[in-house]
Amino acid sequence: MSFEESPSLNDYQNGLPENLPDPSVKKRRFRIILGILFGISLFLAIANFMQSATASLIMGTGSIQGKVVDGQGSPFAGDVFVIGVDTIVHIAPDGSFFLDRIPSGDQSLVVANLTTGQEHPVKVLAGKTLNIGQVQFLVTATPGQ
Amino acid sequence: MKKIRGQGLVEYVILIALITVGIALGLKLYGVSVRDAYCYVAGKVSGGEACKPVQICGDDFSTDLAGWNTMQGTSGSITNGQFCPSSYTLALNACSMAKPLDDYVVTLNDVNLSSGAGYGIVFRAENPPNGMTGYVFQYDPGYSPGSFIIRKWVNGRELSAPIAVAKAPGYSWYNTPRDIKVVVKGDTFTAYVDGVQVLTAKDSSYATGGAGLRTWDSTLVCLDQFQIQTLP
Repeated sequence: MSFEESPSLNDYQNGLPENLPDPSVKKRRFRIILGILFGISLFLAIANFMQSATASLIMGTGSIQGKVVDGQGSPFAGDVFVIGVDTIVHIAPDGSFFLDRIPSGDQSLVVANLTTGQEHPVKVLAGKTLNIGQVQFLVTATPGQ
Repeated sequence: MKKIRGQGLVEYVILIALITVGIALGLKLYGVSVRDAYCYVAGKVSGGEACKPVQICGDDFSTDLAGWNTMQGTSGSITNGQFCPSSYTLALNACSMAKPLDDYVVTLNDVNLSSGAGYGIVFRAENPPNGMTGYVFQYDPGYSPGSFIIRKWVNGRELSAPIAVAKAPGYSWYNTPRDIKVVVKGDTFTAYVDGVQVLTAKDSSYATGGAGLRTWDSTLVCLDQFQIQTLP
């Protein structure tokens, strides 16, 4: 408060006014602001956590199954895996595969031989098995090209 | 009479802490690092470039290839102070692989492709037991009709469909020294050749990892300098 805004003695010639501002109001307001800030921080922390791999695992896992054939329609001999998941499954002699314990949500399924792979976006639902049907693996002539 | 005191020091500390945590979490949610935010604000306030790029790792190939880990193929050689990987080489820069890197700029100076299908700059690479993961920007005259592309690698295999392609028919691919730069920032990757942007791509599969080089086919290429710097 500046000096010019200071109350004059004339204001108190009849004693102190009865309705003095309550100092606890300022303190209450401050705590409300703290509460709001805590709420915002908590919301942001939860939003960050929901983007993590741990959150996907907590939300549950599902499975993916399907069949892979080569350019001639014969069963493809290779591997199947999901980006970000350590498990690699070898495709069965009849071209079928089954990937279990895949975190739910949008995932990238990769069908691969020893050098190259093909990416297939999939949506895995917790507790469900996603059947992607038959996919065709077409090999590029030379790696890197 | 009830004693009423003002705000305690603890409450002010909590206020400042909550504001700090809130800002940090908000930035993280949108994929902006605290450093980037600081540099942006400081740059606006000072009216200039507040944060200059700092070299994280580098090699001028003046001695040997001890700073490189050959993952596949041949290790290449040093000729007249230049690194010359040839034919099939996949080598990762050991310094960058030993650090928890996320956003950075990879620069190759005076890269001269003499023959073959091309070469690539590996970035955001990691090397778990299942094989290398990461991305590769390729200076690729072999990708018809001659293209700049960015590929993704998963478990030691490259994905056949590039995540970005810029076709460049008629480009002078051979016997012209080029300066290559790849800016790796968040989920966006931008490649420059001789200071000109040639390609940009977005992908969020990998958030961290080091850098390296690759060649394939009958490639003959030599380069003067390899550098990894912080973002400007």
